[in-house]
Amino acid sequence: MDNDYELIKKFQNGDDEAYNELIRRHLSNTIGFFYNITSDRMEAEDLAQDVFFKMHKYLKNFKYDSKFSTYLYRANMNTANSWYKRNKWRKFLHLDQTVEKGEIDHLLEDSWTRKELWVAVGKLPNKQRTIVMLRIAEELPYKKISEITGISIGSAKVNFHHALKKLKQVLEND
Amino acid sequence: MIDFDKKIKNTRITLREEIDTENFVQGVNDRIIKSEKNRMSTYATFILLFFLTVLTFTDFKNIGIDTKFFTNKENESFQDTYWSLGSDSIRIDSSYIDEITYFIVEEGDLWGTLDFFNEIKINKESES
Repeated sequence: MDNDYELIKKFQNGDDEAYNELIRRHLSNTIGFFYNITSDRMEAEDLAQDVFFKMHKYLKNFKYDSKFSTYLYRANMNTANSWYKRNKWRKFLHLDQTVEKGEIDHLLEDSWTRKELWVAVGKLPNKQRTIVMLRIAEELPYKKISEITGISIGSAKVNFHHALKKLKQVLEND
Repeated sequence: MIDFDKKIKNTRITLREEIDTENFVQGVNDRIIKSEKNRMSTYATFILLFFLTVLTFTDFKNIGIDTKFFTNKENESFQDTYWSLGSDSIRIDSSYIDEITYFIVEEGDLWGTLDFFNEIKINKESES
């Protein structure tokens, strides 16, 4: 079975089926990541499709200087950050409907819902938001987070700590 | 803070439903093909617009056809062609008289030449 690099090489040589194989391999993780953030299956699939659609263009210039998974995490992060920005405008223009509390929310928390948590995450500064997403939605270790974001492990820890503090303030004071 | 951290981590959910991978892959491929088609038609439109613009501008431009191409240079020796009708060369251009004199003499028409001289003389007398 080909590893990711071999599939990318095949794709760069014009084999589109190799790209389809890459999608199959990483699809559930990608959709899972977006599902955690959006709490909406359809939205998660749309965002995952955005990622793989854009990646089809950029993967042709892949330099093999990092793992494909790291590359994919970065693409996921950028797409999630764009989604948050888009949502801000949607809220500003009142295009979205009122937040519905999903069934699963009642099972997990008493004082705040998962959806409220991710709305609060969206209000964090860019760097903190990115680290929280990778830490919570992907459950990644700090080492991997530092690799993806390009910041030091210590800085990632400090940013995560500050982010938690802010989230606690926002969620538990409401 | 540790409790809050745990609480947040507990919110992590996993997709329970099956993902229709093949349908998803097909969706991505369809989108790629559609975008490629859109890109090609955009390029084609730009190329078409470019050519239309070029053709439009070149149509109005003076393409520099030499009007002398349509004239017979041999007929211009006495400046009595269509192109020089605007001026009365007999009165204002003495070279005309010289040229026609040489012509008549070279042709050997002596009486014609004398008539011509006579005509010039009468013209001069009538002018004065």
